[in-house]
Amino acid sequence: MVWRPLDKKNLVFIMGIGILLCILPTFVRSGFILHIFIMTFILSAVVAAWDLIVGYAGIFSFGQIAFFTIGAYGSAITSMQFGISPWIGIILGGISAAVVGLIIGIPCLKLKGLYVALVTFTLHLSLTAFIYLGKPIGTGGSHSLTGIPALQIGSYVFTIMNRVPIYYAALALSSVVIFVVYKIIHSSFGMAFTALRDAENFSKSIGINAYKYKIIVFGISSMLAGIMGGFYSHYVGLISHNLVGLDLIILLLVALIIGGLGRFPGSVVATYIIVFLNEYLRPLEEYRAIILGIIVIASIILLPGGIGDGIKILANKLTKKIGVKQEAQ
Amino acid sequence: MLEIKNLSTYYDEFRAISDISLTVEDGEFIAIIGPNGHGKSTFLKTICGLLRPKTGSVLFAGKEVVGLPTYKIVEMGLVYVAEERHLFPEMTVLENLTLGAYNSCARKFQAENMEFVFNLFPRLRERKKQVVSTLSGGESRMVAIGRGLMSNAKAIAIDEPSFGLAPNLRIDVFNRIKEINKKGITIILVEQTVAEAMHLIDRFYLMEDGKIVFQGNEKEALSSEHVKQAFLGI
Amino acid sequence: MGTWVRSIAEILIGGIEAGSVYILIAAGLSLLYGVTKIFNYSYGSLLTLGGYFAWVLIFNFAGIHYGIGIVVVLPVMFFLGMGIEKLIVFPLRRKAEWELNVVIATLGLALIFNSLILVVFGPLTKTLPPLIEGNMKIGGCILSNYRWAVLGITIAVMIILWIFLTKTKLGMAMRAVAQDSVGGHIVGINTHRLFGYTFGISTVLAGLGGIFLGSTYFLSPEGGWLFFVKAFIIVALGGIGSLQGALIAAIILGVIESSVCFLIGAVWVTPAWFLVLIIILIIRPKGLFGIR
Repeated sequence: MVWRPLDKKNLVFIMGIGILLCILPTFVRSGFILHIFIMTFILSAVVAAWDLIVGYAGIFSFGQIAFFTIGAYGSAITSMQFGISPWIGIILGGISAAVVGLIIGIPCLKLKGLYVALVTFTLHLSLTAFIYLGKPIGTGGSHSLTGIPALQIGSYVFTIMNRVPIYYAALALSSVVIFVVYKIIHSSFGMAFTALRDAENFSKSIGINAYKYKIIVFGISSMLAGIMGGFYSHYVGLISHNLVGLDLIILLLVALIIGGLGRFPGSVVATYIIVFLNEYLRPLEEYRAIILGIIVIASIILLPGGIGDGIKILANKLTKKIGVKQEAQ
Repeated sequence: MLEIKNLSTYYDEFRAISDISLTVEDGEFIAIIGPNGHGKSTFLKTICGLLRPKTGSVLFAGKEVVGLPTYKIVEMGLVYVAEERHLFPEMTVLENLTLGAYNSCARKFQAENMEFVFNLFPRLRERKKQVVSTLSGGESRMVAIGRGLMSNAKAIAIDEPSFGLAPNLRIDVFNRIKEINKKGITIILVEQTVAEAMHLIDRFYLMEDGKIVFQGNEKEALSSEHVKQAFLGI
Repeated sequence: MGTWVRSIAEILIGGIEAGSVYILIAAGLSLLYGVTKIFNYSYGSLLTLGGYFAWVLIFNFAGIHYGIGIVVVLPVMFFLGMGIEKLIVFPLRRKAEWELNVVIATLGLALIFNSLILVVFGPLTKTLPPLIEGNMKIGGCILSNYRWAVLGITIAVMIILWIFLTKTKLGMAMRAVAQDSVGGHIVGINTHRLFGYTFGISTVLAGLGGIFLGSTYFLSPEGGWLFFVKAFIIVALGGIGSLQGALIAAIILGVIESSVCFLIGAVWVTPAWFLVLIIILIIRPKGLFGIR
């Protein structure tokens, strides 16, 4: 099955949503709801970068949250220990995540998919121990790391007192990241991946070197995750090893799955749904995970293409109704 | 025994075999010849249940076989001997042959079938306890055929058993297959050429581009220039 | 000199004790992946479930001996394993991208199991009582009888497994399918049913391992993940497709874990496993005895 890239009507749809999001703070005052949107922006960028490597490059990685956390700690530590500006800290966070990604990726991406899954999963599980051990370099050990400096432009500091500016900053940053992911998917780079995914032997025979591409994409994806992690740490001001507990990764994994792998922007949309669903389900406590698990299993059996495919089907149905002529493909 | 009608198998969009119809009688030895990549293996795999056709029907001993899982077809008595052999590499010759008799009907006849296989391929008797991955190409092909025999099959579909062998070994292989046929087992042989063995075979088919372009006996085959070239590999 | 020897002996014994439980869970995973090529992400939850089932039997039916508890749990695990294969894995295997989809579905299953455990049993850890009480003293080291019992049972189970795989028709069929699945079809093996049995056996091993881990350490709703990863690292070191490899690797890694714990500190244990994994993948991805 060939997944065609986004065409004009989808782009218009997305523009519409984008405009809605921009004007949102004018009629939503609640700091809490704004916070949820901000988290959604941040996490959707992380998930988009994750979809890039799992859905498009076919790399079963579980390391996305680990890279997010490495970026968060990297950025926090550099700005706290060395007084570097948080903006630069974010970039350094991204770079440190990318470096770790490459260290792991270079041996593993040569091997079968399940090795990458295993190694990245192990990385995720052992990161807690590394954070404890990293106390001397300022990770805060088993305690949370607090007092992370907020972002500022000139003399204006983005505090959580007024969330509106940081709302726009988050929206802008995540839009840039998601746009970068989109561009990669539709570049000749990304096309090579879709070719590899759909017809592996043929692609190899015409000389596409999967390994090199995988390394590059893996590095980029971990860097993007790290950057969002850095931004996150300066936004909330406080991080702990709970980031690499099980809650966050499971949440984003569910979003990735029901969004439909390799069906951009399914995973982005799914993140919005999942983050909000998660908040509403919070009162249900332990039953939350059961519901998520059922959603995952039901989605993979009934609609393997996820929300991404669902959007496509819906968009097609809508345009047929309005009578818009299909663009020649 | 085997009635195939309008069989077509696709790989995604590509039609590997189109609209094949042929019949094989009980105890016949038929051969399907043709150049590489024109659908012969696909055809065999389809009738033996390893591939699913898009259209058509395969009746084996009067029963529809399309859609059945491979193991049921083996139980019914139709067995596939693959070109790639697909032996169990870490197991011995004996273990591979024993596994050939996995299905319940075959287990009763295990001892006699094993004896027949060793008489047919004495070399295998010597190498009973040898691990299959250490055998030569010709020997592993013997094991593959032997394994097919162990399932007490009534019909065996053999895919290019003589590929890559020296000419004298090729004649050997065909002779042994004829021995099997003499026992009453129907043989459907697929090969690129059968120059050495035409007199052993009852009927021939030529498959090109996934279609049957000729069928007939030895005399008819040799009277057409085109067919003769294909069969004799000129 | 005496203390050196004592320390080494303690490390070795600790390693073998840890390794012997790891053998069970590694064997289960190795068998499952080797035969079905399926990566069951709910494996960790299954081993925890085994432990909790035993806990329920022992503590809710006072007077049931631990051993009987185990015997009752095992068939339950077997049918649970077969059930998972039938309901979740089988429908997915017929479609495209099944490898990924099965990973995801079993992950979903793990979520459900773990949260069910959380709901029913609560977040606090629980321990299972040891099989046998008492200690022995050998040359200055104190060894618990319980650990010997675990080692003994593990060895017995492995022997039974070995006999099953080499002497029975079904066992040989499993090995055959592990080596060449198309060959398995060709000789008429009903691979659907075989996969069901394989899942069943694998889950039994997981459950038994979970019970032992539950009494050696403790049970917790999310604890299965770490053991799942350890089981996989052991299989990776031993070589995928090789059961003997997994057994030897389990002991080696048990000893490594014990040494790290003793010499450097317990906090370094998980990073140590991670490091071992990276080293294996760089130096010898096929593992010690890997077929492929």
